[in-house]
Amino acid sequence: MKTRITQRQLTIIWVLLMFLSTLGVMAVNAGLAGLLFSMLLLLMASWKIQLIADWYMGLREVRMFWRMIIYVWLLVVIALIAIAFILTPDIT
Amino acid sequence: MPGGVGGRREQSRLLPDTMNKSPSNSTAEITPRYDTKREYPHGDLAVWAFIYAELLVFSVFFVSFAFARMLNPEVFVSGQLTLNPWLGMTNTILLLTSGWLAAAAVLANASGKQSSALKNLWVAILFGVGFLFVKGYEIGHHFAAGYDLDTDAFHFLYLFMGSFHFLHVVLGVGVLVILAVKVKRGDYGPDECQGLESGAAYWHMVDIVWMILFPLVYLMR
Repeated sequence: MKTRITQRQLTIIWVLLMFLSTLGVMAVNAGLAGLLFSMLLLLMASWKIQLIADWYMGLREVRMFWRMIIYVWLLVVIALIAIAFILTPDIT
Repeated sequence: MPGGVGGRREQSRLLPDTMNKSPSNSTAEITPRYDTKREYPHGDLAVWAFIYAELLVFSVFFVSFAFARMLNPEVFVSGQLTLNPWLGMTNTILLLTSGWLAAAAVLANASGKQSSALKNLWVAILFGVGFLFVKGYEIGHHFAAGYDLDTDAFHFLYLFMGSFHFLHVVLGVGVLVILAVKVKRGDYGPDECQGLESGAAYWHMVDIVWMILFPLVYLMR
């Protein structure tokens, strides 16, 4: 089983991260806003963090315990931010 | 952090040899089987403890920002309009590229390509410094426009979190410079990469924090 991360894989992850980041800013520039859009941005942020942790930090090569610390942290933070946004009164 | 060979310790778990013996043949060839997952992350465990603690600290700021926004939505929406998302995007590009180069440096070092590792590290440092210039300009511009920590809750949290993250980038750039010097001196190689892996892991933590900070402060409306 091949587990060693390659330069090519790192580059693909970088392109994906750039794409996801650019997409968010372009959507804001196009006037997208609101709760649904904010939730989408949070999901994209979670995916980007998972990519960085697994591929750049190499956690995909490590026992699940070490990945779970990041995943649980991410889940709790994103969930709390999402709850705060859901509870925010709509002022538009 | 990818591709590291573990330096002083190979951390893959070797399954018991008895699991690999053929019971019908006492002279059967014993083939070691490796569980391909490492026991511990690449780099120093103390650095990982520090990274997890840092993430916890930043998460308190993020959640505080979100709940402060819940209490003062008008202030936060108008505050966000004073920010330039393109500057934030530029910084995202700079940090992500720097992180990619740092990961490439670790991989190159583990493969015995020290000159490539060194080149990647210096360019990663350059992008990190670029981030500091853009962020410094942005924060300076904000103060020049009359916004400061006393203006409102949004500007307090924006300036506080931005400056705190800025200081982490300063530290990260400093760490990368030290790593580059050590790679040039030949201190790291395929058999010794723990320091390099630890420094790069810290740098990726700075990336991770920005991945939430940027959309939360600049984009989510």
